[in-house]
Amino acid sequence: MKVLAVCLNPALDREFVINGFTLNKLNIVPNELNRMTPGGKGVNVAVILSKYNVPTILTGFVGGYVGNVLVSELRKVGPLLTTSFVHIRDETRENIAIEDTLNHTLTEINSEGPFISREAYELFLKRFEVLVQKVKAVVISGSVPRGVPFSSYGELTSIAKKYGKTVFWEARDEIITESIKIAFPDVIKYDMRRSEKILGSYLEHEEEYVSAAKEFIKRGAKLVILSYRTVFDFVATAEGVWKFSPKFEIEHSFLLGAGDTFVSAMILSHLEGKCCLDIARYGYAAAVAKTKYLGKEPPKREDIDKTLELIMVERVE
Amino acid sequence: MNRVTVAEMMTYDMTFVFENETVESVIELLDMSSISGVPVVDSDLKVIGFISEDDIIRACLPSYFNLLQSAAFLPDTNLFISNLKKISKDPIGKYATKPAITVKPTDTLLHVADLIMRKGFKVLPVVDDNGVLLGVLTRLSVIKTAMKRDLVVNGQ
Repeated sequence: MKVLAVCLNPALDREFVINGFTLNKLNIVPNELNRMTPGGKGVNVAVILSKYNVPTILTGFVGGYVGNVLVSELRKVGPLLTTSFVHIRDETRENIAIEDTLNHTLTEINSEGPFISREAYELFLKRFEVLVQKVKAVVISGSVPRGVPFSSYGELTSIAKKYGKTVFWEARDEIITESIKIAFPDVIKYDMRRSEKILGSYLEHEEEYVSAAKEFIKRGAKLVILSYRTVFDFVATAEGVWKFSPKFEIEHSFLLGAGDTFVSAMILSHLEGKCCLDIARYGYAAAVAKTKYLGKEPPKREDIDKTLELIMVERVE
Repeated sequence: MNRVTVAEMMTYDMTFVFENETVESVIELLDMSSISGVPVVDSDLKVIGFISEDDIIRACLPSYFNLLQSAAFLPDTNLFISNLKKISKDPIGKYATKPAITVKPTDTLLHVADLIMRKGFKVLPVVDDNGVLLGVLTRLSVIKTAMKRDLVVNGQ
């Protein structure tokens, strides 16, 4: 196995296309317009990696009927994805999206998600320590369920570092702020979909992003990626700071899955022996390649290679 | 048929327990994950045993039970329940089948069918050359694979 993907709060994504969706009425969904897919950022990264032929172990918590459905959906991905979850009593999250293409509405119903007991979290930590020794790299991505501390990314990273593993994070500010008090990963990619907050402060100007990125490098990360105005990224290493931009207009409605593709392609590039700025360039090119079409499917390797020519890497510091 | 290997039939799932975990927690796991047994591993992920529902039931019955033809000879019908409660906090390693019978991804359908039919295993841990857990093989997956292969053989 090459990668251990951690998804502490996986989900079952359910998508219903109901044209003319009406409240207070019976709405029938044709079978072909009712889709069910495994979700959660760490799950998405594991699925993408296995599609790029990288043998991956996926771990985290699953529970209840929804959890069992999620695991059985993951079985369909193929032999390169091995699951190793800690089972809990509470139900795994279910994210329901009702899309109405006639009225142009999107109605979302997300379950609150499970509560993880201290005992289950400790069982997970023990299993993580055994699994991490069997891989080259670890990726921890996405939200944490209730009961799991925001510092969990740091706890897992300090275990992974004991065995000399390369660690990638993609998370939001609350998790990163608490976790870096315990340990720093090699690569941090900020999840800024809901808030442009970094280390507790809201950023606006380019200079603020540059200094925040430099701060992370100063404190121990080897590579930091801060998304800026959705389609740009500020990337920092010990050698400097760069701004990544696409050379063409990005279709914003095709952004779904781009962030997870970014992380997966960086891991892929790292496993192929690339380092620092090069892995960020490859990740960004993969994310840009993903925005050329609708859906969560990752782009083909040749499309990523072609897209490397369609991105601009400009040194800002 | 002989060329079908375990790699094509196995479930790529590494649900496992450590031998110091309690009987109670393992019963809870089997219930939550709807499986009938689980590999027991060491800190290197090497399979050192296997614990199934059968092993737990056996641990709650008197040692002479296997010699009896019927459960009607048990002196007390509550014996099973009281024994289960007694062992619930014990480490599972005490009751696991050791060493576990394991298979490798390169083993053939014929080999595993023999283990399943003759020895009655419901789940077999799949390990690499070092004995490290890779997944499990269930009876149902063997049956399903065999059935699919037949369809191909008959050209249907």
